[in-house]
Amino acid sequence: MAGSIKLIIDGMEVEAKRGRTILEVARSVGIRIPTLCDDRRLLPFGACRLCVVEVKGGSELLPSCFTPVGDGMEVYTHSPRVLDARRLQLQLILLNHPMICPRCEREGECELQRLLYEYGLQETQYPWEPIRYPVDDSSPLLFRDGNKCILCGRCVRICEEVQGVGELSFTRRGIRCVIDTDFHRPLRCEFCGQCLDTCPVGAITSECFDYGTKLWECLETTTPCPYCGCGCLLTIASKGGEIKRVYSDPLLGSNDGNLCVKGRFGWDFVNSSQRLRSPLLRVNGSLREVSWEEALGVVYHRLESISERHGAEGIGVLLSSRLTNEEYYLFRKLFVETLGTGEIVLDGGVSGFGLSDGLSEVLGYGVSTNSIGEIRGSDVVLVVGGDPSLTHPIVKNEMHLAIRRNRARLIVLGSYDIALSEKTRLSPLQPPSIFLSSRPGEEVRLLVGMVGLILEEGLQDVGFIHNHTEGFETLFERKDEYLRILNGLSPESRELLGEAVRSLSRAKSAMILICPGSWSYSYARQIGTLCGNLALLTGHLGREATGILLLLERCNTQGLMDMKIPFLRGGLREMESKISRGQIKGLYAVGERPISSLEGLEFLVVQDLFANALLERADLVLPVSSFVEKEGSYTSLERRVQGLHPIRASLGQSRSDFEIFRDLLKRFEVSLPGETPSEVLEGIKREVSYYQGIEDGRQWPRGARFLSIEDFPFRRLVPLSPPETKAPPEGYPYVLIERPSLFQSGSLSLRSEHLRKVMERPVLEMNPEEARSLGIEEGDWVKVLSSDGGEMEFMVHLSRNPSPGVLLLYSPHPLDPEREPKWVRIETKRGKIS
Amino acid sequence: MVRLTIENLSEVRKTLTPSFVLGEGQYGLMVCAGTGCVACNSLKVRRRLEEELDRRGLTERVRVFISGCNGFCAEGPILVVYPEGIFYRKLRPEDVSRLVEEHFVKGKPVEDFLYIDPRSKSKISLMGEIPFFRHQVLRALRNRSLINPERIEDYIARDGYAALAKVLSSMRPEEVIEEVKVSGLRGRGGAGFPTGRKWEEGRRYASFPKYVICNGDEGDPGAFMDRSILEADPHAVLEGMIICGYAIDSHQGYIYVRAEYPLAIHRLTIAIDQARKWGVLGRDILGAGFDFDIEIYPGAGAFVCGESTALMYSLEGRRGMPRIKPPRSTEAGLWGQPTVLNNVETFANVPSILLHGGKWFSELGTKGSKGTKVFALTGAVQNVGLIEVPMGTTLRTIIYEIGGGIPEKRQFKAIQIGGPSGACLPESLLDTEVDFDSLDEAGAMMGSGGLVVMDDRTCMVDTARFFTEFSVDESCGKCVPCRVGMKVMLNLLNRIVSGDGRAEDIDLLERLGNHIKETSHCGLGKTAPNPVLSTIRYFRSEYEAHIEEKRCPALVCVNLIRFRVNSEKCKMCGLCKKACPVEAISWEKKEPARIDPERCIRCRSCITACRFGAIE
Repeated sequence: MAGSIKLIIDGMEVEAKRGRTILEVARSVGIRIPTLCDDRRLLPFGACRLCVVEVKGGSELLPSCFTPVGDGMEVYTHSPRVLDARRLQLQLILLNHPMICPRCEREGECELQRLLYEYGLQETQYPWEPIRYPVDDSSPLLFRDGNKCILCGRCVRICEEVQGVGELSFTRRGIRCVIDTDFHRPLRCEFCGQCLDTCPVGAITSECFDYGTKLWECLETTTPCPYCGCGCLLTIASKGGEIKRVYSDPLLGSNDGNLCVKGRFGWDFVNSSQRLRSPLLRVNGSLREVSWEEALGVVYHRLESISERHGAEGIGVLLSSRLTNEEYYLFRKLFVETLGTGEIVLDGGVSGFGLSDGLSEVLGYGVSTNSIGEIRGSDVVLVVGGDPSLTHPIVKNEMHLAIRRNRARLIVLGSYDIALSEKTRLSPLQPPSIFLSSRPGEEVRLLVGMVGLILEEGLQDVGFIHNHTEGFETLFERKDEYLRILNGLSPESRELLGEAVRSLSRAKSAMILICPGSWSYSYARQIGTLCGNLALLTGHLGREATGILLLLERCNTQGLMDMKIPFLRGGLREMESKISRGQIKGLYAVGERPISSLEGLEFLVVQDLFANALLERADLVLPVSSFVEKEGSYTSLERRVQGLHPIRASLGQSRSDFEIFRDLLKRFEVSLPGETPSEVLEGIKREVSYYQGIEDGRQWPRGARFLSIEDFPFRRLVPLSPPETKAPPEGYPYVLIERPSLFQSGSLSLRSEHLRKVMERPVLEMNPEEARSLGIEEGDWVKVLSSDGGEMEFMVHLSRNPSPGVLLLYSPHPLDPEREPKWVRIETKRGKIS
Repeated sequence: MVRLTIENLSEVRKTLTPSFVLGEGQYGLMVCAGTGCVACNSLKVRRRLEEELDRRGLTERVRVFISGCNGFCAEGPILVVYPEGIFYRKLRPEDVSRLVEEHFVKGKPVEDFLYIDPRSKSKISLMGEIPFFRHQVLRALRNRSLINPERIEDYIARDGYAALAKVLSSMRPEEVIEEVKVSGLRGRGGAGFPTGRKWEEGRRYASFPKYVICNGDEGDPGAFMDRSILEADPHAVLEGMIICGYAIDSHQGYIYVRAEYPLAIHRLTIAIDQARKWGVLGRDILGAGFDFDIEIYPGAGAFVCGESTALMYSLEGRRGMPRIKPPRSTEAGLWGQPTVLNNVETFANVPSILLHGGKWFSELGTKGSKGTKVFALTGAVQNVGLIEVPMGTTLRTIIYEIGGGIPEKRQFKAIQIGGPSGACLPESLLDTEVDFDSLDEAGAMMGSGGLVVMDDRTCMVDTARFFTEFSVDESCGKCVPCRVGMKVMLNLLNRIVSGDGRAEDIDLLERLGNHIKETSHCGLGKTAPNPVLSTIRYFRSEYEAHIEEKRCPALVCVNLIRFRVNSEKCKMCGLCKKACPVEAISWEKKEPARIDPERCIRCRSCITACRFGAIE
């Protein structure tokens, strides 16, 4: 085998790849070398010096974590000399380590404690006076105790290397060295808890976890995260159905052992006091508990009655985007196939559908072509229309790895720049990120301009286009029309755009990440199509780390698409008008969303986890199970189908959406593929072609990490007409954009006490130059008046991120997918300025 | 000013008027403007000289110029009068008018300002005849006291940039590297890695851009070799770096200098500026089509940043902490790109090697260590200063011939070589030759070139404690053995010097010291136990005296000294009682004084007060 060498480890002959470390090779043959500063997600660091080994003929002991194997090397991992050195090293580590193990949070789980047991601890003869180190007890969620810290640096490194945050760092020198924030201020970070996760001892802990229960008492259950579409697998340690810890197995799922704040800490909504516990029926104006038998009977009779009197259009449905594949399947059977309604709106995350539709015009599939974990291998990452660090933190990690380890070029196209851009300016050799700033709606024009520039400068991948695509000639005819779009751009913007397309077309492997942003909803379809065109023109498709990711908002938006449920084109606005016009008489609300008009409804069913705002008007309330209380599967944005594994029975009398739909379907006498989610999944596999033969945890189709060129039904370059941009209304020069928040994404996160502790403050982010030109300083209060008559006051935060003309405001709620951008003007306290 | 090219360099050189070239009947007065002399007012002396000469209308005949460190810092401020090379020392501004009057008006050197040989007590007027200078061989310091470091013309006139011209006009990069390899030049920063091999590796990796870094983060206490070179001959370093850049195909160099060296930074800035203007730095160097530029990066004062990988982290704007190797910096150094990092003195040696050939360079020195080495000689020697000696010179020659021996007729005890992580060698090893390998054998190391001589008043345990304390303070804190282990060693030493030492402590120190050497990450940790280990090796009895007899033979460790009155010498005057701040001395008239050891705080006031040396 080329690049392969032979060596002897502890008398065992081993074959290994050149360049691998002694530690890696030893582990691969089952030899355990102790480490404290090693984490497979991180680059070797060499701080703890426990992994030292003896190499025959060498005078020094070598740290195995970064010493590469050599041909003919004879390694001893447990020779007396090595063991002696390790024992002494442990003794040194322990000198200042408080020996309060019995009352330490990590007692029994501590890596140091385990090594002590393994290596034995002798009474130390060394003189030592304990040194006190600072403690951080003023940060939310995380508690850091410098006294327990052994300075392995894993927290510092994961925060910088993987998260790209760099909140923690080594401070001071020598024996006074301590890991801290700058000037010991409280943490202001992503609160992802990755530092806590990697800490080998009890130096970083969290109030969210119950350390009173030890891990070995817990049941470990691995189940997908209920928040965004990344599909991270959570390993939940629970006892008696209560969640004690959450972490992630690095060998499972797409997330490489990493989790974000919502995944790690945001699960406590399952115990929220707002959880509904039993079915409620409105009798004489007030809700009272009823049995499921009675409740489902009421639903059945009322739905049938409305459907008889008003037809299928008389029933409207609000559908949650967090149900399982099996639940969506039953939902479709019940509402679409049996009741025949098409009056369905989603509770959020709709723009993904437009993007998907647009993309499938080009590729025949409107899905992510590649996997999240491949981003780190690409050398250009184009982000369209959003900030993955807010919506898909794990994707952000991968982007950061691409930047950091691969010197990837980051191109951001949207109304605001992203935090990760800063990371491209740390090294002079890193290509600085390109920000193609646009106001809402202009994204499409810029993308069209990019296509035009590629054609103009001949940057297209001729071979790829010739071999794999159709429609190039028709597209090429539009070149001049596309180029005219550039006329409206400043020379600088035009140059940036040129630089962007040149980087994109020269890249060995480029990934295009399309973010669902509410402001681009009206153009979602075009954006999907144009990104598909860009990928085809530059030949960035069908290979490892080369393709398109559709960053879907919710844990099972992909499954929802796969189950092919039809939606009302006009969305909630249309439904509201149909309700007020008396067309829709019965509303079945799975989940929640503010609905302005409920007058005139004959029957309102609310089927949800929580007592939501619709309850006031509900005739019937059906409590459902949370993600830790039910079975089924989610399909992540990378097409990965992952089974849910419950840790406990449903809370109170709540039932899963699956059981409710199934029992209703029985009443409608519809035949089902089976009684349980797994039986229904088998039915899905038979019906949905690309789910065929898919196993738990694999990606469709056939477990493919990335779709190869042949997988796409067609590759068609679509000649799209560039849309006109709408001029802002007179006197309202700014556009107010709601941006998503890392810490909040709707009904689940709002019911998490943990996440509420790190909620962002609502500040108005403004471009600094623009703010100063209006005499606005950081921290000033301004009044924002919108063209539709609304007004609100905000504190201003100066930020490089928003484009000129754009004001950013974070929203804790899911972005209203159907809202048009809001045009506003600003007044300061001192008077009107613009 | 002209832009130099390969073709016009030698022509231009002839037209220059460097400071040291004198016309018929002219005098050149070199005022040392090294940091040491500047600190003793040498710049004021220079100003007075100029005023005085101006007043007497002698400015045409007598020219004054400054130079970098002369080396004989103990005698500063120093003035050398050319063409003869008459050496005046310890000049005060008020001496100037007499000097001008007698030497330049009357034509007679002023005896009073001449150097007096401490052994023969005779006055020596010529610099070259002073023993301090006589045994030195100047290579890295070849322009010492000859050129004005702030004038590129002076450097060019001394064959400056001739090596660069030769390299760019007639040598391929491989030939340059070969020449450096032939010279046997090894890194002068301490570890002694063969420079030619390092360059070869730097050239081998085909990843661009590549970088050349000059390590000027000289942090050893008492060491000032690099500072002096940068202050005295900055262009030599620049030229060495440019040649290195050419050899490895790099176009950008950085000089990482301690921010505590403002004069060095000032002169480097001037030098870089002039070099760019004269066309030997920047674009199209010497018209030969090679581009190379240099930037200065002032360090922030961490000792560990002298370690090459930590230095690169610091340059990148990160915390200076050594990173893991492999990859070596020649493969992935600064910003992950191939980087050749050499020390100031190493680069300063490069131009002459290329000009005169590697063979010429290798003729001097020992088998494994070629050329010369610059040392900062300090401590208990007569002639404190900066010296350059051929590799292979014995420590004895350095201390007794160049250094002039131990002052005040004290006994030599030890020489500390190699900075805070070097070793202390005893009398018996004074015939050790200074070269990388022999020092290594003796358990010491070359280090960057600090030599601290200690006399019999030095306690070796306390010395080891001092250097250990330095290493504890300066450890970056990354790896366990250095961070914790060194602190434990310090605790043990503290316990020994305060009289609480235990029988097992020497073993503990040795065990721990070897462990730290064996398992530490960077050169700092690997060598930090050296002062302790070497003093245990060569001065074990002193440790034993401290531990077993609770006695400090050198009377340094305060807690181990007992003061008593020698009643035979005591004249019963009572002065000691008056001097004692804590009333530990009892004295009645006509009785010898007595010291109460319980009360005594060992402040030594009584010793100072006693006129008869009766207190021991």
